[in-house]
Amino acid sequence: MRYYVVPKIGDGLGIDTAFRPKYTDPGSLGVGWNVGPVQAMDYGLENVFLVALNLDATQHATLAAQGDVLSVPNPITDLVSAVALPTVKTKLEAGNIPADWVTTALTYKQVLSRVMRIIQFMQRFHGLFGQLFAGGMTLDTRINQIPIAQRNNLRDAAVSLGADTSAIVGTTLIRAALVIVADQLFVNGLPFGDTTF
Amino acid sequence: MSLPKLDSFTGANGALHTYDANWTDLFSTTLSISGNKVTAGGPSCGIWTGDTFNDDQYAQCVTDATSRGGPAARGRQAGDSTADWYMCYVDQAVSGDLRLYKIVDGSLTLINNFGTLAAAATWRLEAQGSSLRIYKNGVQQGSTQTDTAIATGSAGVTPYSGGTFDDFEGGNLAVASPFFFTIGASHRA
Repeated sequence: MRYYVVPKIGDGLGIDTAFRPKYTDPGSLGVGWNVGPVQAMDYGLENVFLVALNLDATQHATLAAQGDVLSVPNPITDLVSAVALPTVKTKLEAGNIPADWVTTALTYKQVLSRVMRIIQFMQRFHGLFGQLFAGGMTLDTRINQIPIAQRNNLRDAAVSLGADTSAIVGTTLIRAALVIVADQLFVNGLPFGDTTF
Repeated sequence: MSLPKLDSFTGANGALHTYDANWTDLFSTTLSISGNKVTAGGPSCGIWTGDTFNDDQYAQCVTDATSRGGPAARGRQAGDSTADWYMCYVDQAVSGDLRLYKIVDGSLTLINNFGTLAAAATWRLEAQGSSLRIYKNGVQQGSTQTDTAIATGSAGVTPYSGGTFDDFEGGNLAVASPFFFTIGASHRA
């Protein structure tokens, strides 16, 4: 099992054009391309998916070679390498997933674990309130720069998942707030792919 | 009314909500009964609103060779013209795929494509907390999926791309009893 962050495609209007991970459609990377079963985590209304795929070595090399794909090295119990670190941070941040906390002291599994929880929070936010990163909001926006209604939405989405938001104050950046909430979620583990994170 | 709700759709051909007003259409296409099965001409979802479901619930229905859709969990009206639900998509008619989708504000997002596992069978979708499970004839298909977008709603059936469906069952998932015996204790008053 391998893990990838890929762009989102589709328009959500029907079965054939549902929002789905890029490169998972049969034939999308050439004749014969078929990734088989797909496990996918959408990042709410943002434009990336985290996917778990069982690819052979050739398929993996093909997918990993795509410029808009972040391929998580195997085994995921390895520490994030110094060589990979800039790529991991850049590609996660490009998808509005905070990654300033990623260091070479963490394993890829630890990185995925926090990223998945951030993703799950954004799914809840989407289900309740829609898109978080709208109207110029970025990961570096402070909580007290967000309109009060959206601030309350953030709080309510977090509370609905059982998270305590008392550590999030006006000067907290969105990127930090997402991590504060994410670290409180799925205390018993989050299964994805063939691993519980 | 009480759960679980069972419905074999035995009635005159016509709109499902005419057959029973406690079936509510969530999407633009109206569900109908034809030949004692439920069907629809386009993207659709019908939820049972005759009872209140717990957040932890299941929906079950029987598919056939024409089916493109399946049981729906946590269906709810999201706004004036939008809806949310989780859809077990059994596509025996075209791709052969078994997929799990969520519909949020009327937009579809893929959660899992389990592969070519579609079959004429009894399909069950369970939503428990953030866990989603699909069963075919009582056997779980693939692994448990995780999604937090839709936390509440009602069970139903979703003939999303057509076909016919029968023998609906929807109910609450059993909660483990907290009561236990202490071995050797006396329970006399």
